[in-house]
Amino acid sequence: MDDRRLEFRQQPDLELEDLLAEELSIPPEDVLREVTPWRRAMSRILWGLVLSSLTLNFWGLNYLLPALGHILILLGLRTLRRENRCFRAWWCALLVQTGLYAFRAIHMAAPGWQEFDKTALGMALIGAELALGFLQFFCLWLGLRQVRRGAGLSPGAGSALALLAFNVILTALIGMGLTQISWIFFAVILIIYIRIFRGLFKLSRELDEAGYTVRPALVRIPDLPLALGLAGAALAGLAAVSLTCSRLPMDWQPADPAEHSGLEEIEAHLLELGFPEEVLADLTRSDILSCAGAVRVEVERERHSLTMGWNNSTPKPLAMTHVAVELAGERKSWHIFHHFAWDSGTKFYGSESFQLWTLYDYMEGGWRKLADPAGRLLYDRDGTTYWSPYHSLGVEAYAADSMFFGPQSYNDPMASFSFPQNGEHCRGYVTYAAEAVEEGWLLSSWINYVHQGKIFVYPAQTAREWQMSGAWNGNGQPFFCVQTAIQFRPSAQ
Amino acid sequence: MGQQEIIQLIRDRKPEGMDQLLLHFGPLMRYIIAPILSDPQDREECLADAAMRAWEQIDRFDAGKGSWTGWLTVLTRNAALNRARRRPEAAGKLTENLASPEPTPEEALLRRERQEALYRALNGLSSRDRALIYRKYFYMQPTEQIARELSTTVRAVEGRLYRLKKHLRKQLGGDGHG
Repeated sequence: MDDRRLEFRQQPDLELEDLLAEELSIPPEDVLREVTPWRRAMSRILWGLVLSSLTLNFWGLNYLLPALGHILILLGLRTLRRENRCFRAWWCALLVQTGLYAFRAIHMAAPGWQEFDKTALGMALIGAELALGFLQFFCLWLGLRQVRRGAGLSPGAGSALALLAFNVILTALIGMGLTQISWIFFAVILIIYIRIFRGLFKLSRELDEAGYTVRPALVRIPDLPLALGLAGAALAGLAAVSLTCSRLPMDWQPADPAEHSGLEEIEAHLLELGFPEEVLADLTRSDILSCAGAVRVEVERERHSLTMGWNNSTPKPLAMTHVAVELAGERKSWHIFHHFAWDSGTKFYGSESFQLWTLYDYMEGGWRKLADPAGRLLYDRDGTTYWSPYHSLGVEAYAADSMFFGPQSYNDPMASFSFPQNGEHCRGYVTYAAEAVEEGWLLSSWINYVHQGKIFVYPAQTAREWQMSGAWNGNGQPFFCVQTAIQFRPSAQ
Repeated sequence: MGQQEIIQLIRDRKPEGMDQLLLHFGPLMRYIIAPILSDPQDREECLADAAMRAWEQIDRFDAGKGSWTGWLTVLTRNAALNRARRRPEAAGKLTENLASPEPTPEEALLRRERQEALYRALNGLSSRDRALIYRKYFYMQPTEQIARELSTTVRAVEGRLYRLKKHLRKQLGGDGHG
């Protein structure tokens, strides 16, 4: 056995400490770079600023990178916060901004956040966040000058001032409505942006000399647990808001078993004409009454999957039944029913919606409106049937950029609603009435039903908002649209 | 003013070189001296002493063998240790920790072997861990200062140092080896 090893084992702690104190000579370059109170903190701040100002609209990086940048600035600045008054002010502004940022980030997990942002309070909060951002750039500039001055160097730090000016000008341009820019203008902005940050990193390296005078603040929680804690708290907040606020409020109540009493004669007549029994059972009393005197019933049934590609084994959990009821009268009037029913076991995460392309809107030369769309939703639980009116059902006027037809204006009846997570046999229908203005027109009534297929949609969006945005089915889309219709020519009996 | 210009000024024996050295590298030198010498007057005298050594020994600096910062760091640290060794209250502690000024040939050989083994073990550490060891045993920084500069707690630094020392002991033939 090696004697020196034996000797080392006998007094391990003392031996090693003496050995280290005696034998360590010129530190390697990586150690020389690492041992400074300044560089680590300042690098975090600068990379945080870079990430915070990046906007990459894919893979959620437009949210992840700024959040990571914000955490880096927090970690960097907390060690420098006591260095001078400007860094102290920056730290205070950053804490307030972090609160606002966290509120906005978590609020965006709840549907309706866009409406909130348009309120006076919402705009005030956005304005405060912007102003705090500018204040921080200002504090960065003054703080860096003070560090240099404290070390006896000339103040300088022009690139920090340039960063402030760049952000103020860019925000002003966006505020004045500059949303579409040419490639040349974009390239100019990008070059300026890169030059400013290059200047800041260069300044930071120059400040390495002065940085040795910095005395970092002692922290109570190490960086990693703090960063993980912040990220965990943010994720928990997002999950809590997303799970509790993503459903639309509905007015579910037990259905009256005697609701259809006294309507047996009309029901029997409709069934005789071919009206689907399961649809008839879901109609309100007034909707059944409106079909009194029916002379003809046309039915179309379909089942739909919720995937783009499908084969025979693809599940088709959505049953759509379209019913057209012709009423007796001088003019030919029709009641249209679009009934949808989900197989039990279907997951309902947030909201559902549908859009109608009615006879009277899309074939207005041949049809005229008799009654606005109406309907209700139902589900069963423990042998009891519950029903609710739609969360909203009415005509929506909006513009969207359709991937098929380009920019379009729409003015369609739309409904939005949510089903309970534990509901069985969730279903509903919508009905309206129209009369034929001219003979020979096609009866064509469409329903575009949108189902939320993902539990987490960020920023939060309801099915109705997704539908109104002009989006369409595709990989990664949180919603899926089923487009279906009843179509026949009434005159071709 | 850049580093090369300052070095050249000192080589040319221009007084401005000393001013620029203290202006640009004074903070670094003070940073190295502070953990070793607690008395403010001692620190200032040591700074002047180290700057004078840099002035006098500038011809020994060879950029091909190492960086200016490394050379200045070692020079300043040695100046601070020499001064500390002269102070009665620190003398005992520091002289124990420092190598004998005139080792015998056998001691020198043993020392070289130990040094090589130590550097092999240190090279096996991550850059961050190596820096931590240097902070504690080369720069002689108090644990609290290390914790401040690494944005962590004193306890975390102590824990990390404990684990690193255990690892180094193992690498150097201590615990579990023989």
